[in-house]
Amino acid sequence: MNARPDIRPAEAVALGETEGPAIRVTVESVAKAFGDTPALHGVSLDVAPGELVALLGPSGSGKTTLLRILAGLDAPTGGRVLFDGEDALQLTVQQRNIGFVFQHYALFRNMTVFDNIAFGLTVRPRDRRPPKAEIRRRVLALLDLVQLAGLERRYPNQLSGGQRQRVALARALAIEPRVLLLDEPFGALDAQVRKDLRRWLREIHDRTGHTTFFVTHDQDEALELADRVVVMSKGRIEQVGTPDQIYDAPASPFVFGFIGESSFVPVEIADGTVTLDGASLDLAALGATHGKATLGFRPHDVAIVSEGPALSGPILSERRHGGMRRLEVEVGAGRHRAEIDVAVDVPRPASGTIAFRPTKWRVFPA
Amino acid sequence: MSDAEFTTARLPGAAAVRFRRVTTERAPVRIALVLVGIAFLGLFLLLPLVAVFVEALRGGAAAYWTALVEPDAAAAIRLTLFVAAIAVPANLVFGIAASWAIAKFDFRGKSLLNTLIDLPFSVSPVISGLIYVLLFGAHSWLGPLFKSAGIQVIFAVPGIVLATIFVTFPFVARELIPLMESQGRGDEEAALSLGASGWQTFFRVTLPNVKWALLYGVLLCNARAMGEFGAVSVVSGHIRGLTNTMPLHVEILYNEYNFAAAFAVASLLAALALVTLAVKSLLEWHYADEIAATRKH
Amino acid sequence: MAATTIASLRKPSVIPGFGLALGFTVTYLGLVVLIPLAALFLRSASLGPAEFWRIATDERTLAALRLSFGASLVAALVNVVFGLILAWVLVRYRFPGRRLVDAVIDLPFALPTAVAGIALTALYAPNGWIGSLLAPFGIRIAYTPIGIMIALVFIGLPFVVRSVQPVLEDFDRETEEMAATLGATRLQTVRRVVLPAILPALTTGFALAFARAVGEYGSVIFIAGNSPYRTEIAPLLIVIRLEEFSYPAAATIAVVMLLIAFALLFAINLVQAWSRRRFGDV
Repeated sequence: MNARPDIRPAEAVALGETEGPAIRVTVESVAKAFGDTPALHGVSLDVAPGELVALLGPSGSGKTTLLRILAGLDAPTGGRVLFDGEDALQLTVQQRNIGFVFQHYALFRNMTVFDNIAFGLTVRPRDRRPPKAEIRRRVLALLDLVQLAGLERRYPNQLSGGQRQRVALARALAIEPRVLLLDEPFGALDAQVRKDLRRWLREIHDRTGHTTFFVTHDQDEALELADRVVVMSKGRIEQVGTPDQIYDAPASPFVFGFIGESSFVPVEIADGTVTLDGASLDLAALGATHGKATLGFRPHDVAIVSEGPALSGPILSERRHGGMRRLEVEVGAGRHRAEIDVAVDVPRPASGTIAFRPTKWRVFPA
Repeated sequence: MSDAEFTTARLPGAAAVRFRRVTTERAPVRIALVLVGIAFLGLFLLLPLVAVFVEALRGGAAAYWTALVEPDAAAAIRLTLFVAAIAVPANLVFGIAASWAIAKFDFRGKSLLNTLIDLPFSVSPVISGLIYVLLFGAHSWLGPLFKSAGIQVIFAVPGIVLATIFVTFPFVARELIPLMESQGRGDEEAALSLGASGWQTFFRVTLPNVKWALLYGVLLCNARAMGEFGAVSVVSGHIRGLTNTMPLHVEILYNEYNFAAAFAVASLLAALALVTLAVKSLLEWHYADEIAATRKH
Repeated sequence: MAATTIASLRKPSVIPGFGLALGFTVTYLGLVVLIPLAALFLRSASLGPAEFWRIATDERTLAALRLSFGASLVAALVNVVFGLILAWVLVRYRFPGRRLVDAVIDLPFALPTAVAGIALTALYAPNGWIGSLLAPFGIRIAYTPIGIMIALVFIGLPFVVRSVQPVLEDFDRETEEMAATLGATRLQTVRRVVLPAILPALTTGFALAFARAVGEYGSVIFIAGNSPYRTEIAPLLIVIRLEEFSYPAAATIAVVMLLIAFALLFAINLVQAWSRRRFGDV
């Protein structure tokens, strides 16, 4: 989880890691309302030092609001935020010592790359401001770190989007932040650049070891990059877990539906098994109790069967989906639409109907 | 300035902390800046306006009315309306033609043309009058020519009209060009492809798209046309009852120490300015997006 | 024949009316603006360089030009300060009467200059509303260069406000938040991040206010006192020379004024173009 593999001491100093180890961030029942509209309903979260946490959710889920409260750009209407046990809400934005990166970079366009990165150091009170040579050394080391050496005299509008975002990160790192907060850092970039920067950000994090939060609505990004993923919806945390936990053991239909592809079929639970239209599907109820429930499964976690209990129905449409063929099937008497993936060489049944069983599934009480 | 500062709700026992939004200033600074701004505005802009009306009514309502209806004043009002009635439509047609050419076509010399249209804005009103005196005056090349044809230009109404057209020249074009450029050519091309003629396209597609900006430009053009002083003063000859516009009449009355009458006529012009401002503000509030973005003149 | 030459100037387009629109535009522009302006330059050129130089450097002319440009410079600088404050207040703060203040800013555009002139004189004359308050202290405003500056402040204010306002409105709040998270105080943020970003717009406003003030006539002559060498502005001197039928002198002063004004606007345009290239579209 945490990693700071063998940074040579001199390099560590150059990257601004003189402030000691990364800190623990604790969020306790933080609530926020804009006027009468609630944005966060008492959210709690504990993040270990050096952890890289993704705040994942659709727009309006409150993830950016939480990030801005951590930074001190917004005040919560209730709750506490602790940095290593110290009440962070008592600190102004300037005192919090946060490295913030915005989706649209927010670079100072009247300053060169060098001046952008040096800004946080040059605005310090005289007694805490490093000497000029030291600032220069640090800025150049950071430019090296973000792989932009030699571009220090450029202006932001002479850089590509990916380069701008790397300058923004270097600028945030320059102030030796206690916590890094990234708000959709790759949201404005092309798909390919996003992928490159994702890997690169993970490497940077492994080298510098900051406690890091990043907001995203891109599940691939969250699952690939984060130590832990916080799934949010409508101002609440739906689930906190490792990428594997989130993907394989979603705690709610929302998480199941939001992460990865999924189909849902309304079912009933009887005697510990899942039934559809009164007939048992011979699927374990997985803890769900008697009554109405929702069966969820992923399109690729199904097996085509020719006999025995199964979900079956007419095929509505089929289309190519990556290495598989995706079928849309109308299941059961309720004619619920479900999507399943089959191998491309499976012939289309002459009857126009197909039967299948989920090989992995979740059951959520209705 | 309401939500910038508030006390955050706290867990029991913790001391309340003041939260300050980082994108604004402290309340005392904000209040001070607002007060400085309003005081400056009041002293330099509003007070003169108030002075016009107070001074106009100093002699009483009867004197006020007399000043407005006496023959020379009435003649000045008529002349001002007459001049505006020629200058504004002329510049309206020009503004539409210029914006059509510049916004709907690409051609060499376009940016030069754009610059030249703005030229009158950077010419002193006095110089605007002077150039016509030099062109049509007694010692000029064209003056004697026109005189032999029986047309007096300088120290007569044609000169006043010309000078007014010059100083109000860019107003309509300035409003239309940026807006029509930002609207592009898609609408016109669509209309033409559907079989509309050029004029149909113009009247049924282009004109409705720019109507508020057009009205806005006409409004500013008219305010300036009726209020122009320097340029008109140079070419008019100040003949009472003949070549005196309202602003010139104000000057004459003022120089004759007939202050109440001067301010009475001035109050009419000030009222025109207020109406202009009111309509302009209404247009901006309701049709901000449909008026070009540049708000400079 | 003419139509084909005009058509060859432009890129092909299906939209009709190019020849008519451009033909009318250029003809009208030529007749109303270009030919008369050319007449001015021709008239002063016909004097010959020696005579031109004699008139342009005449004591009274120089005094008038110094006053016009000097008072305009001071007035434009005053407007930069208060125009910036007003634009800031209008864009950033919400207060009662904000829309009214916003509307009033344009008053100098709408109010005829002669009306402004007599109103300002009524206020600042020794027996006027404000002048009578200052007279006991020996402070005279009307009929002095200070009075001229006040009139020029009046007519120049909206240029600065209206130049800065849209740029300030478009300025990204996240950039300011960024500066704060990096530890900058509010003052540092405003001074090092916001002000540099609106500097080009502020410069534009300054230049427009200055150019307008240099040529201003109506609002100044009533309050100026118009005594030669002291309170006689250059546009007034042109009028005086005209009334003396001294056309060459009038034309020469006009040409000098125009050349200085054009040079100034040209320089400002260069600065703007440079800053656009360097910092992106501001």
